[in-house]
Amino acid sequence: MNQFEIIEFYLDLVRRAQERGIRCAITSGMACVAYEVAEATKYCDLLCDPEMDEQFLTLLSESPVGDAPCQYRGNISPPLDARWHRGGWTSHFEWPGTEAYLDVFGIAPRARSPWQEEMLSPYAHPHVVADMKRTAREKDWPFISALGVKLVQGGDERGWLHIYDEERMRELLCNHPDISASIKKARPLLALLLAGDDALAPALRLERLFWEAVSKRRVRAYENSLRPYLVAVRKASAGKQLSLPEDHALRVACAEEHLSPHPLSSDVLARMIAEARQEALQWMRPELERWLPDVIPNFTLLIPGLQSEA
Amino acid sequence: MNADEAPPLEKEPSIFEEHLRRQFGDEIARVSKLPLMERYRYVAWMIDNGRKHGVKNTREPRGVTL
Repeated sequence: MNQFEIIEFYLDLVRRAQERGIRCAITSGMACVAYEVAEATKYCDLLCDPEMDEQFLTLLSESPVGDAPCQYRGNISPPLDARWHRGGWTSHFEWPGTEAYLDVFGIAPRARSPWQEEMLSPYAHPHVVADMKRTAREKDWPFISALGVKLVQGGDERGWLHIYDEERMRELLCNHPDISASIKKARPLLALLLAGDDALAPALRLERLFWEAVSKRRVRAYENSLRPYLVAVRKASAGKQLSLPEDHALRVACAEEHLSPHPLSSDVLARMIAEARQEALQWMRPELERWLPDVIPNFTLLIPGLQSEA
Repeated sequence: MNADEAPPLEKEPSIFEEHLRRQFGDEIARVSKLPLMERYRYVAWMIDNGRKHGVKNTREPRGVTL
């Protein structure tokens, strides 16, 4: 099976899920391709409403690729279960002997609004995809700016939240000079753009360093929380050939005992943000700190009750 | 909308395309203008080609999306 056939399989899987009424949306690399920013990715990243995890698991167990049934990928994958997906965990799937890989999660990392509220079906909205791309990986950042430019040019001013290319920002401003107060509040450095201030370039650099530092710490918090579960799954599944539903039941049992559903608390997040500010600022002029955004709104979906200071 | 249709987003081509060209190169900028399934076909070709030449483009499971 070549990669194009695998992509067709992913698209068909999502189509069948949506026909069954399962709310889900393709995101990340495949969504970027859909939004005319071609990215080579062999993985399908899928947002699935946690309330529908059970139905989606049933669909997966009925969806082989050729003769290969779907199975969890490795011991490290948390179960596809709303309790853990509401806390930001990701379940990994594969079809052994093929190059088909699927990652399913319920909360879009760093998204400011629920992805279910605004989709360009079968894809997550570019505003959500751009928030998700704020990772610690170098390669993701040009995609964020591309999506931001696309949004602004399409008349969606939220694109201004996502552009990290100073030159593109100045060009766009000529045709799109009106930026609302709420957008300016969400991204303080836009004041530098509007004022034609040269501090824009270093402020953009600092904002990116800050996001990278936050994202790195977020992943670390999950990975640290995963270890006892990984050991338990490895022990419980040793030497067994399990079907997807059997493996799922085993993982749920292990997770109930060993995996925190919500590894990111408001305290952990506050510490992460403080450390990330410090890390980013060690490379930059301290007076630039005032242009950093409040990132709490990017975590309110993940941590119920979290309040922004602003 | 069907899975094989491009989402309907309007754009002014020049700035967006210029950004793609500068960040990703002429080839990706060109491919990005193809119809959606052609874009997927091109991406698939890149991956198949890389695989054929020993490129290991594997993402280890981590239990969390980056």
